[in-house]
Amino acid sequence: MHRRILALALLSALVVPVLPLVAHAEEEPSVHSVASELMCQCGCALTVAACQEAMECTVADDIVEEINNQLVAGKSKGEIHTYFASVYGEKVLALPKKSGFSLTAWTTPFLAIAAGAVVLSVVVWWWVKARTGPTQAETSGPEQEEELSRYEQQVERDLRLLGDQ
Amino acid sequence: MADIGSAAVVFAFVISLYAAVASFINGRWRNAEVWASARFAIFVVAGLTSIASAALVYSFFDRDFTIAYVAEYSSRDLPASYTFAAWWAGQAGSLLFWAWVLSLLAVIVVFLQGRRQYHEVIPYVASVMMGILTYILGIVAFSSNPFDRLPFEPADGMGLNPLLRTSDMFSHPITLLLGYVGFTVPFAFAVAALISGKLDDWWIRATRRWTLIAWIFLTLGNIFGMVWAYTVLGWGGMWGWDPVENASFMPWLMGTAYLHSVMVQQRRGMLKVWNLLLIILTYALALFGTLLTRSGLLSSVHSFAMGSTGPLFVALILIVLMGSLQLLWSRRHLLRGQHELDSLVSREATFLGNNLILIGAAFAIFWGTVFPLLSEAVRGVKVGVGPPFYEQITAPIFLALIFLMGVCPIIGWRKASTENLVRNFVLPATVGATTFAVLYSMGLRPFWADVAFSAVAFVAAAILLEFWRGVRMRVRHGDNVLAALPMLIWRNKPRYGGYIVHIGVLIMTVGIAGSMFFSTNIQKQVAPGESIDIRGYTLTFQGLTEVSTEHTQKVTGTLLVSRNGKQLGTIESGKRVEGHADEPQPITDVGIRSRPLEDLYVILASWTEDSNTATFKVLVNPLMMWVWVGATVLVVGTGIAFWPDRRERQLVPARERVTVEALEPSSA
Repeated sequence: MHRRILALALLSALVVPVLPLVAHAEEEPSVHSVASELMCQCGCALTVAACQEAMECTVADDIVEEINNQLVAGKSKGEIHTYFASVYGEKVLALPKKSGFSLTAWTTPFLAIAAGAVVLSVVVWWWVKARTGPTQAETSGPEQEEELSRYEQQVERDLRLLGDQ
Repeated sequence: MADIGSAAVVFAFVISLYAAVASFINGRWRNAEVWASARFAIFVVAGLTSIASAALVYSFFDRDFTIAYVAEYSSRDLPASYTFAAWWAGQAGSLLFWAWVLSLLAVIVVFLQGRRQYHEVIPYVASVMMGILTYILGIVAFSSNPFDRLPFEPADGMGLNPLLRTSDMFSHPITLLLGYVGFTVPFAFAVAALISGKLDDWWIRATRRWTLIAWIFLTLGNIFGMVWAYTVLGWGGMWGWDPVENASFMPWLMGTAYLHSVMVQQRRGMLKVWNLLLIILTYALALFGTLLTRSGLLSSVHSFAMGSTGPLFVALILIVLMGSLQLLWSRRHLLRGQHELDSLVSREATFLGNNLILIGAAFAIFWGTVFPLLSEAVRGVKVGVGPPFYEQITAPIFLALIFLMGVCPIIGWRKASTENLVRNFVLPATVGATTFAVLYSMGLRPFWADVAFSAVAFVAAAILLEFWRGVRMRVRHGDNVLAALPMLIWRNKPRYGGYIVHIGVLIMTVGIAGSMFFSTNIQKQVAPGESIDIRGYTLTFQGLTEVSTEHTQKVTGTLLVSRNGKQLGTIESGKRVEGHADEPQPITDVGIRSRPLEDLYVILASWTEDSNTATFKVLVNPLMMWVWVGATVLVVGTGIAFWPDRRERQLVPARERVTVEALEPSSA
């Protein structure tokens, strides 16, 4: 009963604050959203949207004006990006293309993590397997018996030393 | 004063070199006299770097513009607080600050920590710390000296960059630098463990609090950077994936992986090589962060400091990496774990998964940072890699991390039984799945937002279940209901402090997901009396006011805010043009109305000469406040985990397997 109350309370606490967001999902692309996916070419390393707000930048101002004109003309976000790539080259796109060599920008991190996961799984599997083997032999193996015998001798020696004191 | 400061730096360099060598000699050959002199030298170096720092601060307040650094970062009209902060505004001063902090840390380690315990290895720790300090002091003395003089005395200085004239100047750079320097201590202990060959978990126990200190400062540095970006830079967001931001985030990710991984070594005596490797990489990335922040190597919004220390820092990073990795390789035979993993379905395995994800995230960010250079080298075409790339590439990785954060505490050590899995997973999984079903069926899109919120729900349920069980157990054993929760936390501060840190991360995730997926904006030119409508808000432009002083011109736009016909007051946003000499700098004064459900964020973009119209950019950022609330919870949790525990001293370290040979009397 307590668990159910806990789950319900938790559910309400998490879901209720998020519900107002339902009405606001999926809005039309704006100048800001298009400018947020283009890199400014003034050398600031910011997006056009960020550069225009953070500093006085005529390059960003010009790009924003052109984005506005193209949105008014009914161009899509993709078409506007293609236009700017033809003017400035691929370096204007904040998102590398998902084709050719640029595809490796997207795939390499996930491939690296996947490779890491495979290596990790193999190592763990190997550990588990290696552990299962010796554990069974631990009780009867000659090495263990020899080790046990040496411990016993050591205990005997220590007890004799204590007796001498 | 410049001469005193300069001389102090040079003397500190020479004496720290002596301290490094003498400490090592004592560590290797045990010589009490040499050790006494090394300890004295460490103390003297701290005194000398303090004198140099005081001399620099005095020169700022004295307006001694014959010193190039003082002339570059201050001016006669600079308020006293910012005059003090000018110390770390540029590269040379920042490095002096770095050296000063490191010298004080060396004193604390040697004179306080080393007095009580770890007598055999502290000389090696001191040697490593003083060796690094010598290198930094060498850079300060001979390459980037804040006391270098100009050939003439200008009438006034260039002044502090107006973007730095905010209270954030006392929080963001300081905490970030403290985080970077702080990781020197666990790194030095790790190297000392390698040199001495004493490679059980003593060095992890010795550096647990040092690691937490460095980690929390690095965390705070990043959080204060987010605050600075959101409130001062005024681009509407808090994280721009700027190269310098990336450079401070990577050591944080690696340090977080290390913080988790050492728990496995403490508990099970495993992952010894891995932990050493992690702390080495964390420290190398911390040095890389210092290099990028203060070298002016890459163009960035953080390029307030330009300098020529790049190659010297790269050399230091290479020395640290190659030296410690070589040492690690030579000691590999001593680093065999006491136990091995029993099962893939165990807490140890989830810790490894957590490490993989954190390192994968650091690699993804590194990959994005270097990809433009790589593309240019391979194709001859430079491509852009901006914030949307990082957001898209790291979002699924962090989502996986959040999921593991929930799995980790509820899965047993060694090997989780089916009963354990069912008992612990049913409630969190039900809460997560129900959250997803409710949000999705109510039409919340995009899909990944549903996934993110339900992952948060799953983890929150898992953590709260742990608290619930603990409290129930204490109540059964006679605790008062009200006292049970605080007592539960107080009796096991590292564990429950860690859970509170996780709760902070979850709250931050809600804020980040809300603002990332559901932010909206509008840019509109308005005349007085005209309105801007956005997501139920109506902002009516009242007019512009202009204030001019000797070095500042400020224009402020006032807007009346209402929502669904209800007046909510006014909001102001302005632009200042500030600065000294020939380089005035425009600053955005953002108007923010912050409420639990959303932030209304107003930027005055431009205005016409006759002040008849103004263009505003207005953003609504949902759940933004929860980023800062979560950050506060995270800091509180770290404080609890850090708090000393009397019982800790009584804890017996993990039992080690003692061979018969080790019991025999030494033949030496």
